[in-house]
This record gives sequence, C-alpha cells and structure tokens, in this order.
Amino acid sequence: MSAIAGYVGNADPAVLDKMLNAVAYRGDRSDTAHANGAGIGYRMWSGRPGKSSGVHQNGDSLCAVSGSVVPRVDSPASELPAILNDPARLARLDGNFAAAWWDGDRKRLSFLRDPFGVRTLYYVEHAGVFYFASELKQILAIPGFRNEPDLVAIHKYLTFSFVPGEDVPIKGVKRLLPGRIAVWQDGKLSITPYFALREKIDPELAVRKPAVKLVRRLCREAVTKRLNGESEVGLFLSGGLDSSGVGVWLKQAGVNVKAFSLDFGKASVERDQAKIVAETLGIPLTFVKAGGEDLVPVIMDLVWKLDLPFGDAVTGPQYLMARAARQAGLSAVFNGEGGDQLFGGWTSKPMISAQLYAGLYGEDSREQNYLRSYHRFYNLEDRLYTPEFLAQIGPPGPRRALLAPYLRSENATTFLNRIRLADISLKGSQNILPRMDRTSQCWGLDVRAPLFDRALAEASFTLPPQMKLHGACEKYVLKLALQKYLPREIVWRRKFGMSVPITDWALGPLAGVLEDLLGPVSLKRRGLFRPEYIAELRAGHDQPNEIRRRRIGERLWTLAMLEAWFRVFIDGKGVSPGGSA
Amino acid sequence: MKCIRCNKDSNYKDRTNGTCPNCKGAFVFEPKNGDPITDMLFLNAINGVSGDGRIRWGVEHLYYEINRRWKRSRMPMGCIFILLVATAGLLGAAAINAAAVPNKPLPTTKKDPAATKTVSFALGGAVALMILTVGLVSRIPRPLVRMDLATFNRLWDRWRQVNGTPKGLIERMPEPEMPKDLEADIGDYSFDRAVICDRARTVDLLVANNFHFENNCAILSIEGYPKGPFKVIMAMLKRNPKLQIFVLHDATIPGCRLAQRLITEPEWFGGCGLRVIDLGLRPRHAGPFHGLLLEGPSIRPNDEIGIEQAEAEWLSKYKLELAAARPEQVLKRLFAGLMAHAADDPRAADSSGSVTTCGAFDAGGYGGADGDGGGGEGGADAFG
Repeated sequence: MSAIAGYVGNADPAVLDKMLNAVAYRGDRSDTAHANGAGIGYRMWSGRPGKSSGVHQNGDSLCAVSGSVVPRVDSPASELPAILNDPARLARLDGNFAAAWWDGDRKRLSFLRDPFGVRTLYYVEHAGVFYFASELKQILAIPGFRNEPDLVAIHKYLTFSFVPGEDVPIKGVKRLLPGRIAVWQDGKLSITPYFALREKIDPELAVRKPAVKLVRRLCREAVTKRLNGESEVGLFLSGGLDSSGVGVWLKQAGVNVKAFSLDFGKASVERDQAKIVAETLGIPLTFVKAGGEDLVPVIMDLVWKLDLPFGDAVTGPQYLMARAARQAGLSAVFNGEGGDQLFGGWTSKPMISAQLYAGLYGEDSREQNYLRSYHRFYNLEDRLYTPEFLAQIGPPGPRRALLAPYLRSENATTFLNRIRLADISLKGSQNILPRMDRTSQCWGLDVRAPLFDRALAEASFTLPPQMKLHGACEKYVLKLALQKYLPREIVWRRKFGMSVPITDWALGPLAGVLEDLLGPVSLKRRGLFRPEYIAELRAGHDQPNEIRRRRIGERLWTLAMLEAWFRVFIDGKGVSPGGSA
Repeated sequence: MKCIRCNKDSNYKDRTNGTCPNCKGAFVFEPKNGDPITDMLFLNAINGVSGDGRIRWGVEHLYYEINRRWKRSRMPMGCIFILLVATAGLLGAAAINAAAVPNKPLPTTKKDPAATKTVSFALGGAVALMILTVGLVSRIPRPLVRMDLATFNRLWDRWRQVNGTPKGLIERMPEPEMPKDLEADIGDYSFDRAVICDRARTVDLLVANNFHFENNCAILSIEGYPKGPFKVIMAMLKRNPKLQIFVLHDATIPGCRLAQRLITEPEWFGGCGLRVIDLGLRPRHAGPFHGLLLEGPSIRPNDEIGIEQAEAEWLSKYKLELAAARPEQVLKRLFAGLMAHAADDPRAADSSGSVTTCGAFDAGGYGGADGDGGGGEGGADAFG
C-alpha cells in the first residue's frame, strides 16, 4: 500500500513530487531523496508494520521499497542492497513489493518486482531521462510526456481482457515483468529473472500422505509469513475452496479475522457456501451488496485506480468489497487467489479437451486454444474492428509468441504443468494479482494472496500433476489438505466460481453508462470499433455459436472499460476523473 | 429473379447466357429452365444454417434448410376454409336456381334464361374455386422432405462450381492420429461429461464449433469417431466415477436405443452404474420438423428396448435426423440440456445404470434464429 517513483538523468528534481502527487491516494505522506544524478520518491502510509518508513539514503545510495518483503525484514529499503547482492537471499525472495536502488557510486539503477507481480513497475525514457514508477499515471505526470495510445497493445487487451507482457497501451512506456531485476546503467537497460518455476517431480509425492502434509505445511507457512503483526485482518471469502482454505490457515495462525463476501442478490452463486465456511471457522461475515447500480457512480474512479484496462467485471465488485473492508477499520486483507493457478483449476480441462481433438478441421494450435479461453474478441476482429484499426494491429504472431514460452516450456515436461506455467504467468501475474492489488489500494488496503507464495509454488511443481488434476477432480491435493477442516459440501462440490451477473447489469442498470461509453457518438469519435457489432451485443445478442449469455456482458464490459480508460488516460492524461464513492 | 451479388431484379429475357444484366455475375440456377430453386433461396439457406457465416455447419444442414425454405406454404388453411365455404355457397346457389328453372317436359325447351345464366355462373365459379382449393391443398407441407438428396446434391455441386465453398462448411482434414510428441500425462485425466452421438457428423458439428472446449466435454460417436484419440478418450472417461453422460441422436430405431446400448455394453459404460441422459431426438420432437422427415423402415421394432410402445409406430413410418435442426439450435439446446442436469447425481441406483430423458429439445422454434434454448446458465462452466 504505497508507491515509488524515480529518475536517472538531468531531470528537474521537482518531477518526483509531481509523480508522487499523482498517486496521493496511495499514502498520507511522501518522501524523496536525490543523489548524484538520480532521485527516488516514496508515497506511503504512516505507521504500517513491516514497511519502510521512507526512502533509505546512505551517501549516494538511495533505496525505496513499496510493499512487504518475505521473509519479513523490519526495514525493507535498508536491506535492499544486501538482498540484491546475495544470491542466496534472492533465491528465497518473496512478498508483494516494487523496489528500486540507486547505487550512486556505480551510477547504476536497479529496480525489481515481486516474484508473482502483485506490485507493478513501469519505465520510460523521455527527453534523455530514465524514469520508473509504480503507476502509469505517475509516468503521465512527467512534464512534456506525450501519451499516444499504442494500438498493438490495445489489440492484445481485446484478446486477453488485460494487457499482457511488457506492453503498456501508451507508446514508449514498458512494464517490468514479475520476478525480474532491471538494471539501468550507462544508458542501457538489462533485465534478468531472479525467479522461474521449474518442474521437478518428486515420485514420493505421488503418495497422498506426504503430498498432503507438504501442502498443508507450506500453505500454513505462506499465510503466517504474510502477517505483519496486525491484530486483525480481513478475508475476502467467496465460499470456494481457496479462500476457505486461507480462512482455515488464518485461524490456525491465531489472528482475528473478519470475512467479507459479495452479495449479488438473486444472482449469488456461492453465498450459502460462504456462510457455511464462516460459521464453521467462527469468523464474522459481512455480505457486501454488489449490483450494477452500485457501480454506476464509481466506474470512472475504478478505471483511474486500475491504471491499465482490465476487462474482467470482477474488478467492480472487488472495489466495493475493499471499500467495505476499509470502512470496517482494516488495513490488510487476505484472499484465496492462486489456488486455481497452482493446483490445476480452470483452464486445465478445456485445454486437455482441445488438445485431444486438435487438428480435425484445420489448424488448431495449443496457443490458439489458450487465446480462445479468454473469451473476448479473438477471431472476432473482423466483426469488431474498423478497417483503420485493423490496419494498425500487425500480424497475429505476437499474441501467440507471448504464450509459447509457457505452453511449450522446457521448464516442464507434462502437459498440465505447462498449462500451469501459462496460468500463473499470464492469468495470475499479469491479470489477477495486479488488478487485485489496485482495487484494494484504492482504499488504502494492503491485499495479500498467500497461495501465490514462492515456496508453495515451487513445491507445487514437485507434485505429480495427477495430484492436482485427479481424473476430473481439480485441485485434488488441496482438497485432501482441507477436508479435515471444512465441511464435505465445501471441499468436494463441483466448482462454481464467482459469477458476476455482468450481462444482467450491462443490459440493465449499466445500460446508461454503456450508452455513454459505447453508443454511436462515442464509437464514432474513437474510431476503433464497428457500431453494428456492439449494437448487437447491447441488444442482448451474441454470436450464434456462443452458448453462454454471460459472454455478452463480459464483452461489453471489456469494451466499456477500454473506452473509459481512453477517456481517463488518453483524453484526460491520467488525471483523476473524480467519482470516488 | 434477383442477383445475389448486386441484388438487381431481372427478367428471363434480360439474363442472357445466365448472367445478371447489371453486374454480369453468373446465375447458378434458372427456374425457367426447370431448376426448382433460385440462387437467392440457396444463398439465404446458406446464411440461415451458417448464422451469416459465424457458425460451422455441415452440408446435411443445408439440405434440410433448402427443404425448409423450398415451396414453403404460408398459412393456406384459412384460405382453404374460406374457399371451401365459398364453393359450397356457389354450389348451393346453383342448386336453388336450378330448381327455379321450369321443369317442363320436352319439346317445350323454353327455359328461364336468367335462371339458367345464374346456374351456369355459379357452377363455373364453384369449379374455379375447387381448382384453386386443390392447388392450395397441394401446397400444405407433407411430413416427408420434398426435395430428394440426389437432386440437392446436383444443385450443391453446381453452386460450388460457380460460387466456391461457403464459409463455415465443416470439412474434415485427413484424420490425424494422436500426435507422437504429445505429453505423456494427457491421458491421465478425465472429463466432466461425455456426449455420445449416433453419427460422426454430429460429432463434427459439435467439435468444429468448440463445444468440447467450452464444456469440458468428450464427444464421441457410437461407431468410434474420431478414430485417432478415441481409445485414449474412452480410457479417460472411465476414470471419472461421476461422469455425466448425454446422448444425442436421430429419431430412428437405433438412435432411440443409443442410451440403452451405453448402459449395457461393457465397452461403453455397461456395469459402471451411471445414468445416461437422453436429449433426443425422439418421435415426440418431430412436431416442428413437418416436411423434413424421411421415410422409416416400414417395420415396427421387434422389441421395446429403449423404445416406448407409442414411439414404435412412428419410428416404423418416419425418420428424423438431427441435422434437420439448425446448428445454432443444436448447440444451444444441447447446452441447455447439460446445464439442466449440471447438479444431478450422475450415478444410477445400481450397477445396471439407468436412462433419463431430457426436455431440452422439446420446445419448438428450431428453424428460427432467435431460439432461447441456451438461456440457462448453470455453474458448471469451464472458465470463471
């Protein structure tokens, strides 16, 4: 719950204040330091345990760390040089952080992100100065910087529902990938990974007992080491297996927990399950009402806080739930994100099915199927894009190229683990975690996803994949690990997932917002999309082979969030549009 | 006749060499020369089955779509009734007037000229109306298809020669074997559900439209298609003791017995104690397919395994292929059937298994583009 920014080169030192003020909501005070051709700034909340208290300066050395480092240290900023200089510590480095170190003696800037990408770092070279920052809006605050949209990155967003890889939808700006250290020295940038998952299957873990014991121990530790001494923490409880499991381990750690769950009214899918879990664990549970009408007044603020366009409608309800947790007096909250990615949920079975039937009627690659799994506009470009937009998106290869390092990775030999690598690195690190962090940061809330734990993730790649997907049973080992603590109906039921009733909202309470964002006037002005196709979606019709009604809302929300992002970050140059509730 | 390229309406004499006088594009069909349909009807049928090029479809779907559109009767029943009443009225009038004509014996042949004229007029009118009625009655759709397959195939070949293969047509690649470089673990897993079809072309329709991918679903034909991955998929299916099994078939004697075969034959799921859900088609689904039926085998099934007594008579007279339903409707109704049973316990009461019928294909509207068969959304989704 904080942000950093910095520069190397001949910049006006006052630029740091501008960059920190652009994210004033990320703290109640700022600290800046300058030394020998560089400057680093830090926006923070006072008195948060386990966080740096300011920019650490030692002669010409400047360090700042936004977030928490695991294993926990009292002052992450002062420890940063020691961590970066010690391969053994780097090999264990975990947490949720973005950090930077200016080594004035060697005139070298190092900056890095946590292994799974909870915290973000952008960078850009402008007018001979190298800048980095936690948020895109901080980059836009650099005087004289031109914010031209990058339509190739927008095209990727429309396929994935988030902007994948290093791309940022503003020309010239890049994003450091998670688990990487970037070094800027002598006008050159080099990037090296300090974290990569590798399959190393331990045959002894094919036996239930040791596998379950290992998972239980690592999950418990993952939760415990993310407690920074808070007397009370929140839990976003969906009623599904993963968040329920985090609830179990939080209770075992002896911390007071308040749970929050979303209430979609009649469209709620897991409401009863959340109640059962809360009662089982003895955790007070608050239902947070989330309806389309609740999002109307906050959409533009949500878009501004999200920083990048995110096309999953869960961001709206998450924003409302984080607000409720903050209003309940909490500063830290846990969730169950990561269970699917580590232990074989969601995409495994469809991808297996696709692989078995591949090639019967034409080209049908693993990458194509994975792109299809996002259910946005892959292969619908001709219907959606205007000819002008189509002419600027380049060839189809780059999207598939993003996937090949995972889906055909040499770090894994099994099909399931290759899909896991893609899910962790793309859906997890580039979508779920950053959007989760930002919807919580909106309200000064520090969010922790303990299942995205480095030791646990590494251990998950020592498990035989059949312990993750056992027949058709997903997350098998996690279910075994939790069956002794949770009711059978929670552990062994078929997964439902959080189904945001976005189609009902898009065609109902959000229709006015969509008219503003996706009506003919707006579409004509932006010039990217064909109005006929969007009009069909807004009338409640999708492609004839699209059997799920939910896709209508998902697609409309993806488009609406993009147009709102254009208004805030391109037309509005990243300045807050207001509307925070 | 309208040109499919420029929409220009032209007369026969203007269509020199079978080309459009406006854009010079070639016509495929010429009703004046005996072709049963026009280019525009054929094109509209293609657009109908392909959802304007957005859905994959088979040539068999086009055959039924052409039959659905060809010489479609437009509500003649009311007209026929009025014509019959009018005919009866005229005949009545003729009879009354005939009675009014002096029935004097010959040679006094002096008749009332006005009455004679009225009788002649009434009889003439009645004959004309009867001819019209017979004409309209001939347009009432019959249960069986009007255009035979051989005629359709000739038309289809000619269409492709001029206009090429339409978008979305499912054409099989040379059937691939299981890739040799596929990861070894892929056969270790299983599926949530299986859809077993009585014909491979139904498998083609579902797989080409990604139904398997969207629904964690194995799709196989009873004859073992697709051959490449068939054995691997069957072994995978048997790994799930809670496998949901659905059958999708033609309304034929073997089709209606498909579910029974699955729960009795050991190479399928005999002895597994699973419940098989029969989605159809069965004779009771035939209502919306009037005019799209095929002739049955003319013999009643010799036992009632998988077939109710009331169905046996129908199945001896007719056959109804699933391809008579538009691809969009098949996908949506199948999905609705899956969702309707998403929370059911797939296990039968004992190891002999059981069969349940499902109403997903019950409602009408198969020909329309706006059927709402896919409205229900359960939680057994493939993605979050």
